[in-house]
Amino acid sequence: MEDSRLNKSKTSKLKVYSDFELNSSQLYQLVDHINKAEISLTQISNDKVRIKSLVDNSSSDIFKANLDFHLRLHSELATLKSKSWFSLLKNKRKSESKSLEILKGLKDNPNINSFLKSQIGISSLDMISQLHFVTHKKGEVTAYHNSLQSDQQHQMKISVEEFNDIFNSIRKSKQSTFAESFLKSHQIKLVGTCLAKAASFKSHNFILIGTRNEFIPFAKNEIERFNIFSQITLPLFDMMLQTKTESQLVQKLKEILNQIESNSLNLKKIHSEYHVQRVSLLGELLNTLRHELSNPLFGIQLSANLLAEEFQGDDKELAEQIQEAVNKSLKILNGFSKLYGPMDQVQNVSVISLINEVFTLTKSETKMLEREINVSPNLMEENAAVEITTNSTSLSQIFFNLILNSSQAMQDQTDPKPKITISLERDLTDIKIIFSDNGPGIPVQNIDEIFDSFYTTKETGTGLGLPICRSLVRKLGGDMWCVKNDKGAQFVLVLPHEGLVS
Amino acid sequence: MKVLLVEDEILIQKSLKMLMEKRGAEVVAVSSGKDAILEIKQQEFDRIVCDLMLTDISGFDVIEESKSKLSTEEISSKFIIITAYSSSQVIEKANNYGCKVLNKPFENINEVIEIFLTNERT
Repeated sequence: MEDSRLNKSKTSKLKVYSDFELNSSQLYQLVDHINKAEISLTQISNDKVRIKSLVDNSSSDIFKANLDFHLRLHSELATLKSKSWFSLLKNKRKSESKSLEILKGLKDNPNINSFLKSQIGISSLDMISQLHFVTHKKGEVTAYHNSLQSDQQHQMKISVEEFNDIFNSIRKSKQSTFAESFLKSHQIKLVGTCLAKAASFKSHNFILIGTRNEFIPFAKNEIERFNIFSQITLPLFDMMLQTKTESQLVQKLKEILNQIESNSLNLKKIHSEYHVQRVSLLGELLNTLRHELSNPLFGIQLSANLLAEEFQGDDKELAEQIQEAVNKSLKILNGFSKLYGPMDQVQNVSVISLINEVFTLTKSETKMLEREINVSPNLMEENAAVEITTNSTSLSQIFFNLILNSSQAMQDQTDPKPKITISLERDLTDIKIIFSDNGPGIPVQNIDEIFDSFYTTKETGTGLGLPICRSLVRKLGGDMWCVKNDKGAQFVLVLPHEGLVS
Repeated sequence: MKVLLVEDEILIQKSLKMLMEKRGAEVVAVSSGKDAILEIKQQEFDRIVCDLMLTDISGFDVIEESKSKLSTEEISSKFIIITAYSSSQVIEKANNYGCKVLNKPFENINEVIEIFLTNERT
């Protein structure tokens, strides 16, 4: 494509292509961040190899090497967790899904006016009742003003001078919203406040104005949506006006669509790799922490045991309570190790005890939750402990995420009293685990998006939990989905008895 | 029964010593590998309970150094390794010496003390 703008990354590790000039600086930043993250991870694994050989060769260096190594790990992890990376990707994802939506709309309706008319009053432009799309082909003496409403369109010619006047005043003002007065002297009749964008491209200059024919100012999110809409559509319009035939146009649109879709596949791949790396790094840290802690804890347990034997009455009880507290601490430590253990091993897992362990781990968040675990009749008959062969780390993480999501969604709920119900069923090949809550549920229009990377309703959410859960479940040879429900959120997990770890 | 206990975590050392003495054993407790080697060279023990991660050397180093005094058979029957860091490598190495490995923390303390103080290996 002549107009294609290829933004190649600086190393050969990651190539990201984009045709949207307006997003290119964002992309450069994104690629930079990802590469930095990758480099850090490589450095850590190289260090690991070096330290491992040190350890193998000299047993007295074990502790020292471990401590240094883990201190480094900790600081690398802190940088990797950098929030800015996540929010950058989050914004990219937002505009990516918008881009996809718009591209699909254009592909089905490859005529600019007709497309714009179809967008009035819906989605990004739901606050708009009239659009003015003014175009000027560079070098020509006339510009065209298209006045569009959902059911009608008018086209008028205006002079270049007039066009440039409007164009420059929009550009100069650096605002996005304008009072009716600013265009009063011109041919274009505007009523009320309006949103406006002026953009210049290789062969065209465009002005896009949106109004709702009222004097009420636009809200911040309305301004943002209009801006994103213009950022995505205007470059495309430039390309469309240069393409000779409709079939060529549709072809180009298809190509752009494919590129965006494969970019997002790339992103998804980076995520799951990042997640696995992160888990194994955290697993190492936790392992050390666990061992460092379990020694003194064990000491306390043993001495409390001795004291319990020596004392009577209240003192004895106190000593026994010390023992119980230590047991609880050790249990929690073990539970955490399950969350960050190796992700490539397969073992027999008791589903119900894993679920209970996760409840223990999330105690501070799930304390107020009523919980119910139902086992279907056929399972009860067999007296099966509901065991499957799978990777317990991945399963723990999935349960952890679902349970935490539910409890956070219901944290301020008092009526009905928050409750999580987990049901287990089994057939010949798989088990089915259903997580339901009686919380606010998931809005119908978002049900397809929740598994997309970065979809989140939480202010500080990363939006990565559910997509990672799903990719983990699929790695285990199963699948998960959300059920449309008006009584809260419901997720279904299906897992084979004999798990695969691919 | 005479036991050498090699453990650098003082609270664990004192408690295990007391637990074994309550059962009538005579316990010599040391906190470092080097001290353990000295004791092994100077005295006879029926049982050597040895932690793996010591501050100066590892429990396996202690076993190696004991070879100058103890036979392979004695090493296998007298040494019990206790550790919080059990891995397949550790278990393999212990198996090479023919020694038992027990994981800290012990789930059943009484059972473990029993194992320490019985001559026959289960």
